[in-house]
Amino acid sequence: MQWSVVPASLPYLLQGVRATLLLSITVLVTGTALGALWGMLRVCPVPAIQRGMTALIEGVRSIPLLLQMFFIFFGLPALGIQMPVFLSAALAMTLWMAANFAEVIRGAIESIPHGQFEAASSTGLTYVQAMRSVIVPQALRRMLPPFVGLCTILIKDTSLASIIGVFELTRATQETIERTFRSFELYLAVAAMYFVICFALTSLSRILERRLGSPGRVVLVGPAVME
Amino acid sequence: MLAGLVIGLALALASQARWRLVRGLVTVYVEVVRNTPLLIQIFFIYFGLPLVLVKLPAFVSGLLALTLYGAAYNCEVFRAGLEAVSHGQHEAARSTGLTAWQEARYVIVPQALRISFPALGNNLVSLVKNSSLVSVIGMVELMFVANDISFNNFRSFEVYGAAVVYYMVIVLGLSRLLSVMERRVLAKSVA
Amino acid sequence: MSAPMIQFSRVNKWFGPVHVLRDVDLEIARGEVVVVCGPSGSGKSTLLRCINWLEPVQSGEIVVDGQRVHDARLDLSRFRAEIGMVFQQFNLYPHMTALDNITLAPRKVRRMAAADAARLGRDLLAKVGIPEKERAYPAQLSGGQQQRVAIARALAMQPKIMLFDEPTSALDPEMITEVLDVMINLAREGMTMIVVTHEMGFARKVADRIVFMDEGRVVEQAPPAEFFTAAKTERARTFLGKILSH
Repeated sequence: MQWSVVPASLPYLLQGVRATLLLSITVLVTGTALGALWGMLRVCPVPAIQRGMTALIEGVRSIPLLLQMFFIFFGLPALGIQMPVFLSAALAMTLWMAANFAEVIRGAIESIPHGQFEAASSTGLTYVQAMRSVIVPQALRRMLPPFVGLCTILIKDTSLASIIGVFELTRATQETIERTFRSFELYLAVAAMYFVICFALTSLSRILERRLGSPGRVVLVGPAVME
Repeated sequence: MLAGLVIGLALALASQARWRLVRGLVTVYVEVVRNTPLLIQIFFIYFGLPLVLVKLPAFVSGLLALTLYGAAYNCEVFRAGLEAVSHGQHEAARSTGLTAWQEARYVIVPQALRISFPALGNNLVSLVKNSSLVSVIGMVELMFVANDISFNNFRSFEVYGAAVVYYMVIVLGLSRLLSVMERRVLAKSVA
Repeated sequence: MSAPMIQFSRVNKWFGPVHVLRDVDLEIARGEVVVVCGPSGSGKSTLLRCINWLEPVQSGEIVVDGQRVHDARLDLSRFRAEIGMVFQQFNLYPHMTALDNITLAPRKVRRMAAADAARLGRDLLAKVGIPEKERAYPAQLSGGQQQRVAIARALAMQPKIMLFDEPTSALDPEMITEVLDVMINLAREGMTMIVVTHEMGFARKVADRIVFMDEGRVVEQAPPAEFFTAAKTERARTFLGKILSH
């Protein structure tokens, strides 16, 4: 085993880390925004909207992320839409993040006791007013731990983007291996790098869960989910 | 298939975590596996191990990676399930004279299994989706076949579209099936 | 006004296959205090919740103060603002102080200015006996105090009718009195009240009429004195026998 190859390749790998984080943060912003929209529509009391959103969310969640990326990058060109790799990956991951975040929102909102909504309605508040002042503020605290969990999974899944050619940590690793052939040490080192980032987030999620002391059901998403 | 191996392995792992300082090792294993990308794990087993140990064929590598990955998650599910069985059960069992082993086997574990069922089902569905990753090391499965076909005849859109539909059908069908099973299992066990 | 405040006409309601309200006819006049009682499953809570349409009704008519509640064109928010409801589980908003709980609806629905709403809130808190708790969060209050805040919250919209759904059933016995006292005062001030409860002492003191329900039907109605001593129907007598023997 040649461990020296690890520090030698570190600068290049760190560039990969930066790219990974860039991709992650981009998707985080777009995915969360879209997911918030989808989430609120998903719990909307209009049956047609709810069914439509459920279909959309379940559909997106049932397709492996890798396939989504392939579909966008390789498949769409046949329709005349050719996107650069970064955008394809970002788009696929945004959809993925939106669908999962929408589910987190749904879980949090549905975990609020129905009596809260009844109390608000019985004093004359409209649906929107009740959501804004009573339901959503309570749901936000319950959304936070699973949301951090989703971020963790997001960072792990950026590795998939390497397969369609996006430059990030995994790709940087692969390129280094092509040069040095030390696959064992390098994959191990990279695993450690991912580990550090993700474990930090996971720990954060656990601290949050304890601090916010979920009085309702614990929404089991996040690192408990095998995405 | 894969799930079977995974669950079997995980059960043992979970049980160990309850009782000895093996707990520490298990925790490390679970945390490491859960905080690193599956892709890296697959690559490590398929590309990295050959340097030090043996070169495993694609199928075995993929199977191994998925199994280890699944086991880590299932272990967490079982741990939660074991904890969720109310302490009163433990006391009741002990007070009627059952040994620790008997208590575990007849009282605690069956209930934990029923409680864990939904989460395990979720993990199974995720596993099916994650199996698409092993296509990258050449293991033949749905994703790989799709790639193959599309590269050969350039009709990428239709091919990947078809793959999308296949996955959706499998996953949604599986989910539906699991829901039905879940309801039956819960109906029997409401204590 | 001679027209009844609340009127049920041949009301029927189903929860799926279960027939929970059967041919209910009921009239409640303005200022009347009505206690609804009966065995569990008799439909009494459901009856109450139909008045402000928290539960929809499939057949029959409900008219409240001239408004046809079953009319789909009814502006529900505005309608509900005129009716106050107090729940068995209090349902206070845990993320807001007592005062904020009370002032939320007046500010949002009636567009009251914050200062005016706060003044109203403080008056109501004083009225229910806990003016010092205005900044407390629900988790810091006892059950009896929470329910009193809930009553204040319902009163904040100055409703014409107050609905009480088993308001003391979730309380420890020593806290029941404080809540009942508030309700008794309210009754003496002339509020139209419909109360689903098992507290027969309360009924004896302030109720104008007792409505006894069983299996979705209004079985008997009578003033308290008559109901307790000379109930006409067998089922009512059985029920009374069970609950009064404590």
